[in-house]
Amino acid sequence: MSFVDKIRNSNRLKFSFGKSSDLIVIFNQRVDALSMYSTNFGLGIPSNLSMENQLRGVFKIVNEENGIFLFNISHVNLVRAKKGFVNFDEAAESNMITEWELSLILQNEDYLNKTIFHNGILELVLTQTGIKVKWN
Amino acid sequence: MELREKIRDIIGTRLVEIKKKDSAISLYFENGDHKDVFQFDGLIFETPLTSVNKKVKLAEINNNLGIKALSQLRYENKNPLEYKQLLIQMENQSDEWKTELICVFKKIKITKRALVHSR
Repeated sequence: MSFVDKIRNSNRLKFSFGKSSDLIVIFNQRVDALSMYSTNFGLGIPSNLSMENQLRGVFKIVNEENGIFLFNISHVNLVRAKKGFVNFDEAAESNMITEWELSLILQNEDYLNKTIFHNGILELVLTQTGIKVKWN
Repeated sequence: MELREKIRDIIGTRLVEIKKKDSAISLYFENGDHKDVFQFDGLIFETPLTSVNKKVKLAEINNNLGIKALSQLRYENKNPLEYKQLLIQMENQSDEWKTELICVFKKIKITKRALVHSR
């Protein structure tokens, strides 16, 4: 079973993160995952909240629903994400919101345990020294 | 020439000026003998380090917007599906600090003008 099939067949709530690209939108559709492209993130999050609070709401709801965070790490600056940010604004000003999302996951064991890292085709594992493909 | 090709044409040129009046935005790129002018009505997001007088390293258009543009358009009650996003990255950016522009528009006008050098 391919990685995409495995994710699609899961009945858990799925939320997809990653740098914006046409490919990630296709991936989201193939695995039936919610994302920033879904109206109100597909989770009924009020759009009058700040961007930071909307995103924190995504993490809170998906975590409480025992969902899965799908994280496409293509073109994501892993060094910057691991280092973290002083606050959300620092990340937003530098166009590093995806890195901020990853830093939030890396700082929270609950989120990390519910995250599947991938590149759109293969499941990946983040290690201390880098990234490797997760073979079955 | 297709839009993607016209946009890739600015790689290696230098961004010399950004003009913004309300939502009307113009970007000027030069590469010695000609100037490319991008004109559109929409949004522009610039990282804190100035992009002007830097060379373009990457320019790519995307039918799907990033979260900044999505949020801003939704805030303005505009339909993000009607917009495209252009990402322009400059040379010499670091891991810590990006130097890039995100431009969001429905339509973009690109004109190429020859530069006249005085003797």
